[in-house]
Amino acid sequence: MASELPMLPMKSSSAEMAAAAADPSTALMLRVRDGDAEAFEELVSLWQDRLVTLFRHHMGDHSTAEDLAQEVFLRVYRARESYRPTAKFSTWIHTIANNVASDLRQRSYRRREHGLPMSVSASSSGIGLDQIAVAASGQRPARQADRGELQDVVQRAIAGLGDNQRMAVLLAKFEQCSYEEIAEAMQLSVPAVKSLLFRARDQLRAALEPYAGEGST
Amino acid sequence: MTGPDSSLPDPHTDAAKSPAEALGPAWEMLDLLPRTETPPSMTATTIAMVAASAAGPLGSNDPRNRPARWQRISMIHWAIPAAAVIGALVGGLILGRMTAPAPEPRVWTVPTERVEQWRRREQQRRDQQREPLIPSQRENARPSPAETRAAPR
Repeated sequence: MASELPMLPMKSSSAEMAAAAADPSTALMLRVRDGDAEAFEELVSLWQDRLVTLFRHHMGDHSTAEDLAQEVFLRVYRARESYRPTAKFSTWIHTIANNVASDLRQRSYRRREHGLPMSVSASSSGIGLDQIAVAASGQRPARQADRGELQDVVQRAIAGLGDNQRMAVLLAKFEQCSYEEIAEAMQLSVPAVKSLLFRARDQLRAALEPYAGEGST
Repeated sequence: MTGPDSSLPDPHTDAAKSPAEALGPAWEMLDLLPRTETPPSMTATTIAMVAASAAGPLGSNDPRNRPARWQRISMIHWAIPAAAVIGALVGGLILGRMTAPAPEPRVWTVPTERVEQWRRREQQRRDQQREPLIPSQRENARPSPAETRAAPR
Protein backbone atom coordinates (compact mmCIF):
# COMPACT_ATOMS: atom_id res chain seq x y z
CA MET A 1 0.00 0.00 0.00
CA ALA A 2 2.70 2.47 0.98
CA SER A 3 4.60 1.80 -2.24
CA GLU A 4 1.80 3.57 -4.10
CA LEU A 5 3.02 6.87 -2.72
CA PRO A 6 5.40 8.80 -4.96
CA MET A 7 8.53 9.72 -3.04
CA LEU A 8 11.58 11.81 -3.85
CA PRO A 9 14.78 10.85 -2.01
CA MET A 10 16.48 13.51 0.15
CA LYS A 11 19.33 13.53 2.62
CA SER A 12 19.12 14.36 6.34
CA SER A 13 21.62 16.61 8.10
CA SER A 14 23.32 15.77 11.39
CA ALA A 15 21.04 18.16 13.32
CA GLU A 16 18.05 16.40 11.86
CA MET A 17 19.51 13.06 12.82
CA ALA A 18 19.77 14.32 16.41
CA ALA A 19 16.14 15.51 16.34
CA ALA A 20 15.11 12.17 14.94
CA ALA A 21 16.88 10.36 17.73
CA ALA A 22 14.98 12.40 20.32
CA ASP A 23 11.53 11.89 18.84
CA PRO A 24 10.33 8.75 17.00
CA SER A 25 7.67 10.69 15.11
CA THR A 26 10.27 13.17 13.90
CA ALA A 27 12.40 10.26 12.76
CA LEU A 28 9.47 8.84 10.82
CA MET A 29 8.67 12.19 9.26
CA LEU A 30 12.28 12.67 8.18
CA ARG A 31 12.14 9.26 6.58
CA VAL A 32 8.91 10.28 4.82
CA ARG A 33 10.63 13.43 3.59
CA ASP A 34 13.57 11.37 2.43
CA GLY A 35 11.33 9.22 0.30
CA ASP A 36 10.44 6.30 2.56
CA ALA A 37 6.84 5.40 1.80
CA GLU A 38 6.68 2.77 4.53
CA ALA A 39 7.56 5.42 7.10
CA PHE A 40 4.45 7.30 6.11
CA GLU A 41 2.35 4.21 6.78
CA GLU A 42 3.98 3.88 10.19
CA LEU A 43 3.32 7.53 10.88
CA VAL A 44 -0.34 7.11 9.99
CA SER A 45 -0.60 4.06 12.25
CA LEU A 46 1.08 5.94 15.09
CA TRP A 47 -1.02 9.09 14.90
CA GLN A 48 -4.35 8.02 13.49
CA ASP A 49 -6.08 7.07 16.73
CA ARG A 50 -4.81 10.17 18.50
CA LEU A 51 -6.05 12.48 15.77
CA VAL A 52 -9.41 10.77 15.45
CA THR A 53 -9.88 10.99 19.21
CA LEU A 54 -8.98 14.68 19.18
CA PHE A 55 -11.30 15.46 16.29
CA ARG A 56 -14.10 13.28 17.62
CA HIS A 57 -14.30 15.25 20.83
CA HIS A 58 -13.70 18.52 19.03
CA MET A 59 -16.32 18.02 16.34
CA GLY A 60 -18.64 15.64 18.16
CA ASP A 61 -18.92 13.27 15.22
CA HIS A 62 -16.88 10.15 14.53
CA SER A 63 -17.10 10.05 10.75
CA THR A 64 -16.17 13.72 10.53
CA ALA A 65 -13.25 12.99 12.83
CA GLU A 66 -11.99 10.26 10.51
CA ASP A 67 -12.31 12.55 7.51
CA LEU A 68 -10.41 15.30 9.27
CA ALA A 69 -7.66 12.91 10.36
CA GLN A 70 -7.25 11.82 6.76
CA GLU A 71 -7.08 15.45 5.70
CA VAL A 72 -4.29 16.01 8.24
CA PHE A 73 -2.30 13.10 6.82
CA LEU A 74 -2.84 14.42 3.33
CA ARG A 75 -1.46 17.81 4.36
CA VAL A 76 1.44 16.15 6.14
CA TYR A 77 2.25 14.25 2.98
CA ARG A 78 1.99 17.31 0.79
CA ALA A 79 4.26 19.28 3.11
CA ARG A 80 6.83 16.51 3.46
CA GLU A 81 9.43 18.16 1.27
CA SER A 82 9.37 21.39 3.26
CA TYR A 83 9.42 19.66 6.65
CA ARG A 84 12.21 20.81 8.96
CA PRO A 85 12.43 19.39 12.50
CA THR A 86 12.73 22.83 14.12
CA ALA A 87 9.99 21.96 16.63
CA LYS A 88 8.53 18.75 17.98
CA PHE A 89 6.67 16.76 15.37
CA SER A 90 3.66 16.66 17.68
CA THR A 91 3.47 20.46 17.68
CA TRP A 92 3.72 20.51 13.90
CA ILE A 93 0.94 17.97 13.40
CA HIS A 94 -1.21 19.64 16.07
CA THR A 95 -0.87 22.90 14.15
CA ILE A 96 -2.05 21.15 11.01
CA ALA A 97 -4.91 19.52 12.94
CA ASN A 98 -6.00 22.87 14.35
CA ASN A 99 -5.90 24.42 10.88
CA VAL A 100 -7.95 21.56 9.45
CA ALA A 101 -10.55 21.96 12.19
CA SER A 102 -10.63 25.73 11.68
CA ASP A 103 -11.12 25.30 7.95
CA LEU A 104 -14.06 22.96 8.56
CA ARG A 105 -15.61 25.39 11.01
CA GLN A 106 -15.29 28.22 8.53
CA ARG A 107 -16.90 26.12 5.81
CA SER A 108 -19.67 25.18 8.23
CA TYR A 109 -20.26 28.82 9.15
CA ARG A 110 -20.45 29.75 5.49
CA ARG A 111 -22.91 26.92 4.87
CA ARG A 112 -24.96 28.08 7.83
CA GLU A 113 -24.97 31.61 6.42
CA HIS A 114 -26.33 30.16 3.21
CA GLY A 115 -29.01 28.21 5.06
CA LEU A 116 -27.45 24.79 4.63
CA PRO A 117 -27.41 22.28 7.47
CA MET A 118 -24.21 21.78 9.44
CA SER A 119 -23.06 19.11 11.79
CA VAL A 120 -20.23 20.14 14.01
CA SER A 121 -19.92 20.74 17.70
CA ALA A 122 -22.69 21.28 20.19
CA SER A 123 -21.60 24.85 20.77
CA SER A 124 -22.12 25.54 17.12
CA SER A 125 -25.48 23.83 17.08
CA GLY A 126 -26.84 25.81 19.96
CA ILE A 127 -26.52 23.53 22.99
CA GLY A 128 -25.40 25.91 25.68
CA LEU A 129 -23.51 25.17 28.83
CA ASP A 130 -26.36 26.67 30.80
CA GLN A 131 -28.64 23.94 29.45
CA ILE A 132 -26.08 21.32 30.33
CA ALA A 133 -25.63 22.73 33.78
CA VAL A 134 -29.38 22.76 34.38
CA ALA A 135 -29.70 19.23 33.12
CA ALA A 136 -26.76 18.18 35.22
CA SER A 137 -27.60 19.78 38.50
CA GLY A 138 -30.57 22.07 38.88
CA GLN A 139 -33.32 19.74 37.89
CA ARG A 140 -31.77 16.54 39.07
CA PRO A 141 -31.10 15.60 42.66
CA ALA A 142 -27.67 14.41 43.63
CA ARG A 143 -27.52 10.75 42.80
CA GLN A 144 -25.20 8.12 41.54
CA ALA A 145 -24.81 8.35 37.80
CA ASP A 146 -23.52 5.41 35.86
CA ARG A 147 -20.36 5.70 33.82
CA GLY A 148 -22.15 6.00 30.49
CA GLU A 149 -24.26 8.85 31.78
CA LEU A 150 -21.20 10.61 33.15
CA GLN A 151 -19.46 10.21 29.82
CA ASP A 152 -22.44 11.81 28.17
CA VAL A 153 -22.40 14.71 30.60
CA VAL A 154 -18.68 15.29 30.09
CA GLN A 155 -19.03 15.10 26.32
CA ARG A 156 -21.84 17.62 26.40
CA ALA A 157 -19.85 19.86 28.68
CA ILE A 158 -16.89 19.74 26.31
CA ALA A 159 -19.17 20.36 23.36
CA GLY A 160 -20.54 23.42 25.11
CA LEU A 161 -17.15 25.12 25.18
CA GLY A 162 -16.07 27.58 22.54
CA ASP A 163 -14.13 26.16 19.61
CA ASN A 164 -10.74 27.45 20.76
CA GLN A 165 -11.40 26.56 24.39
CA ARG A 166 -12.33 23.04 23.38
CA MET A 167 -9.25 22.58 21.20
CA ALA A 168 -6.99 23.89 23.98
CA VAL A 169 -8.58 21.58 26.56
CA LEU A 170 -8.36 18.56 24.28
CA LEU A 171 -4.73 19.24 23.34
CA ALA A 172 -3.91 19.55 27.01
CA LYS A 173 -5.82 16.46 28.12
CA PHE A 174 -5.34 14.02 25.28
CA GLU A 175 -1.98 15.13 23.91
CA GLN A 176 -0.43 16.26 27.19
CA CYS A 177 0.57 19.55 25.59
CA SER A 178 2.12 22.32 27.63
CA TYR A 179 0.92 25.92 27.47
CA GLU A 180 3.70 26.69 25.01
CA GLU A 181 2.88 23.75 22.76
CA ILE A 182 -0.82 24.61 22.73
CA ALA A 183 0.03 28.23 21.97
CA GLU A 184 2.24 27.22 19.06
CA ALA A 185 -0.27 24.75 17.67
CA MET A 186 -3.12 27.24 17.87
CA GLN A 187 -1.01 30.23 16.82
CA LEU A 188 -1.87 32.07 20.02
CA SER A 189 0.17 33.62 22.82
CA VAL A 190 0.77 31.69 26.04
CA PRO A 191 -1.33 34.18 28.07
CA ALA A 192 -4.15 33.75 25.57
CA VAL A 193 -3.99 29.98 26.03
CA LYS A 194 -3.99 30.36 29.80
CA SER A 195 -7.00 32.61 29.55
CA LEU A 196 -8.77 30.11 27.30
CA LEU A 197 -8.13 27.27 29.73
CA PHE A 198 -9.24 29.24 32.78
CA ARG A 199 -12.46 30.26 31.11
CA ALA A 200 -12.96 26.65 30.05
CA ARG A 201 -12.36 25.59 33.63
CA ASP A 202 -15.12 27.87 34.89
CA GLN A 203 -17.57 26.62 32.30
CA LEU A 204 -16.68 22.97 32.85
CA ARG A 205 -16.94 23.41 36.59
CA ALA A 206 -20.45 24.77 36.22
CA ALA A 207 -21.46 21.76 34.16
CA LEU A 208 -19.55 19.02 35.96
CA GLU A 209 -19.52 20.03 39.59
CA PRO A 210 -22.63 18.00 40.49
CA TYR A 211 -20.82 14.92 39.26
CA ALA A 212 -17.39 15.70 40.65
CA GLY A 213 -16.05 12.72 42.54
CA GLU A 214 -18.20 10.22 40.68
CA GLY A 215 -15.92 10.06 37.69
CA SER A 216 -13.06 8.58 39.60
CA THR A 217 -15.18 5.83 41.13
CA MET B 1 -21.33 27.02 42.35
CA THR B 2 -21.26 29.29 39.36
CA GLY B 3 -19.33 32.14 40.93
CA PRO B 4 -15.60 32.52 40.73
CA ASP B 5 -13.67 30.14 42.91
CA SER B 6 -10.96 31.98 44.84
CA SER B 7 -9.23 28.72 45.64
CA LEU B 8 -8.35 28.20 41.97
CA PRO B 9 -5.38 29.95 40.39
CA ASP B 10 -5.81 33.24 38.60
CA PRO B 11 -5.41 33.05 34.82
CA HIS B 12 -3.18 36.09 34.69
CA THR B 13 -0.63 34.76 37.11
CA ASP B 14 1.72 31.84 36.84
CA ALA B 15 0.04 30.06 39.71
CA ALA B 16 -1.08 27.26 37.42
CA LYS B 17 2.08 25.67 36.14
CA SER B 18 0.31 23.33 33.75
CA PRO B 19 -2.99 23.04 31.91
CA ALA B 20 -3.94 20.26 34.34
CA GLU B 21 -3.70 22.68 37.23
CA ALA B 22 -5.48 25.34 35.24
CA LEU B 23 -8.45 23.11 34.60
CA GLY B 24 -8.74 22.13 38.24
CA PRO B 25 -11.34 19.50 39.17
CA ALA B 26 -12.60 19.19 35.60
CA TRP B 27 -9.29 17.64 34.59
CA GLU B 28 -10.05 14.26 36.14
CA MET B 29 -13.59 14.26 34.83
CA LEU B 30 -12.18 14.55 31.32
CA ASP B 31 -10.69 11.08 31.78
CA LEU B 32 -14.20 9.80 31.15
CA LEU B 33 -14.00 10.85 27.52
CA PRO B 34 -13.34 7.71 25.50
CA ARG B 35 -10.23 7.21 23.40
CA THR B 36 -10.97 6.19 19.84
CA GLU B 37 -9.49 3.06 18.36
CA THR B 38 -9.74 3.02 14.62
CA PRO B 39 -9.82 -0.27 12.73
CA PRO B 40 -6.61 -1.31 10.95
CA SER B 41 -8.43 -0.94 7.66
CA MET B 42 -8.56 2.79 8.18
CA THR B 43 -4.80 3.05 7.87
CA ALA B 44 -5.00 1.36 4.49
CA THR B 45 -7.88 3.65 3.51
CA THR B 46 -5.93 6.70 4.56
CA ILE B 47 -2.82 5.64 2.65
CA ALA B 48 -4.91 4.90 -0.44
CA MET B 49 -6.65 8.26 -0.17
CA VAL B 50 -3.37 10.13 0.20
CA ALA B 51 -1.83 8.17 -2.67
CA ALA B 52 -4.81 8.94 -4.90
CA SER B 53 -4.77 12.60 -3.94
CA ALA B 54 -1.03 12.89 -4.40
CA ALA B 55 -1.14 11.26 -7.81
CA GLY B 56 -4.35 12.94 -8.87
CA PRO B 57 -4.54 16.28 -10.58
CA LEU B 58 -6.29 18.06 -7.76
CA GLY B 59 -4.61 16.30 -4.92
CA SER B 60 -1.42 18.25 -4.79
CA ASN B 61 -0.71 21.82 -3.86
CA ASP B 62 2.73 21.55 -5.36
CA PRO B 63 2.55 22.43 -9.03
CA ARG B 64 5.61 20.26 -9.64
CA ASN B 65 3.55 17.23 -8.66
CA ARG B 66 0.82 17.95 -11.17
CA PRO B 67 0.73 16.20 -14.53
CA ALA B 68 1.67 18.39 -17.49
CA ARG B 69 -1.86 18.21 -18.88
CA TRP B 70 -3.25 19.76 -15.71
CA GLN B 71 -0.54 22.39 -15.71
CA ARG B 72 -1.64 23.32 -19.21
CA ILE B 73 -5.29 23.39 -18.13
CA SER B 74 -4.54 25.55 -15.13
CA MET B 75 -2.63 27.93 -17.41
CA ILE B 76 -5.59 27.97 -19.77
CA HIS B 77 -7.82 28.86 -16.84
CA TRP B 78 -6.19 32.23 -16.48
CA ALA B 79 -4.71 32.65 -19.95
CA ILE B 80 -8.01 32.50 -21.85
CA PRO B 81 -9.82 35.16 -19.82
CA ALA B 82 -6.71 37.35 -19.83
CA ALA B 83 -6.37 37.03 -23.61
CA ALA B 84 -10.09 37.75 -24.04
CA VAL B 85 -9.86 40.92 -21.98
CA ILE B 86 -6.74 42.14 -23.77
CA GLY B 87 -8.28 41.31 -27.18
CA ALA B 88 -11.45 43.18 -26.33
CA LEU B 89 -9.47 46.23 -25.25
CA VAL B 90 -7.30 46.28 -28.39
CA GLY B 91 -10.30 45.61 -30.66
CA GLY B 92 -12.28 48.37 -29.04
CA LEU B 93 -9.39 50.76 -29.47
CA ILE B 94 -8.95 49.89 -33.16
CA LEU B 95 -12.69 50.03 -33.86
CA GLY B 96 -12.96 53.34 -32.08
CA ARG B 97 -10.16 54.81 -34.17
CA MET B 98 -11.68 53.51 -37.40
CA THR B 99 -15.20 54.75 -36.78
CA ALA B 100 -14.39 58.08 -35.16
CA PRO B 101 -15.03 61.15 -37.45
CA ALA B 102 -12.00 63.02 -38.76
CA PRO B 103 -11.21 65.93 -36.53
CA GLU B 104 -12.07 69.35 -38.05
CA PRO B 105 -9.30 71.95 -38.16
CA ARG B 106 -11.47 74.47 -36.41
CA VAL B 107 -8.65 76.68 -35.33
CA TRP B 108 -7.54 77.53 -38.87
CA THR B 109 -10.69 77.01 -40.92
CA VAL B 110 -12.88 79.47 -39.16
CA PRO B 111 -10.60 82.53 -39.55
CA THR B 112 -9.88 81.62 -43.17
CA GLU B 113 -13.57 81.34 -43.92
CA ARG B 114 -14.19 84.60 -42.20
CA VAL B 115 -11.41 86.30 -44.13
CA GLU B 116 -12.88 84.94 -47.33
CA GLN B 117 -16.31 86.15 -46.33
CA TRP B 118 -14.92 89.49 -45.40
CA ARG B 119 -13.13 89.75 -48.75
CA ARG B 120 -16.27 88.87 -50.62
CA ARG B 121 -18.32 91.38 -48.73
CA GLU B 122 -15.65 94.00 -49.21
CA GLN B 123 -15.49 93.26 -52.92
CA GLN B 124 -19.25 93.56 -53.23
CA ARG B 125 -19.21 96.85 -51.38
CA ARG B 126 -16.49 98.20 -53.64
CA ASP B 127 -18.29 97.03 -56.72
CA GLN B 128 -21.39 98.82 -55.58
CA GLN B 129 -19.53 102.00 -54.80
CA ARG B 130 -17.35 101.95 -57.91
CA GLU B 131 -18.34 104.57 -60.48
CA PRO B 132 -19.11 103.51 -64.02
CA LEU B 133 -16.13 103.86 -66.32
CA ILE B 134 -18.15 104.58 -69.52
CA PRO B 135 -18.23 108.39 -70.03
CA SER B 136 -21.74 108.48 -71.61
CA GLN B 137 -23.08 106.82 -68.63
CA ARG B 138 -21.15 109.22 -66.47
CA GLU B 139 -22.58 112.31 -68.20
CA ASN B 140 -26.14 111.14 -68.26
CA ALA B 141 -26.04 109.95 -64.87
CA ARG B 142 -27.72 111.98 -62.29
CA PRO B 143 -25.55 112.97 -59.40
CA SER B 144 -26.06 111.08 -56.34
CA PRO B 145 -27.61 112.87 -53.37
CA ALA B 146 -24.25 112.96 -51.73
CA GLU B 147 -22.67 114.61 -54.73
CA THR B 148 -25.48 117.11 -54.90
CA ARG B 149 -25.04 118.04 -51.28
CA ALA B 150 -21.30 118.28 -51.63
CA ALA B 151 -21.36 120.49 -54.74
CA PRO B 152 -20.67 124.22 -54.15
CA ARG B 153 -23.60 126.49 -54.77
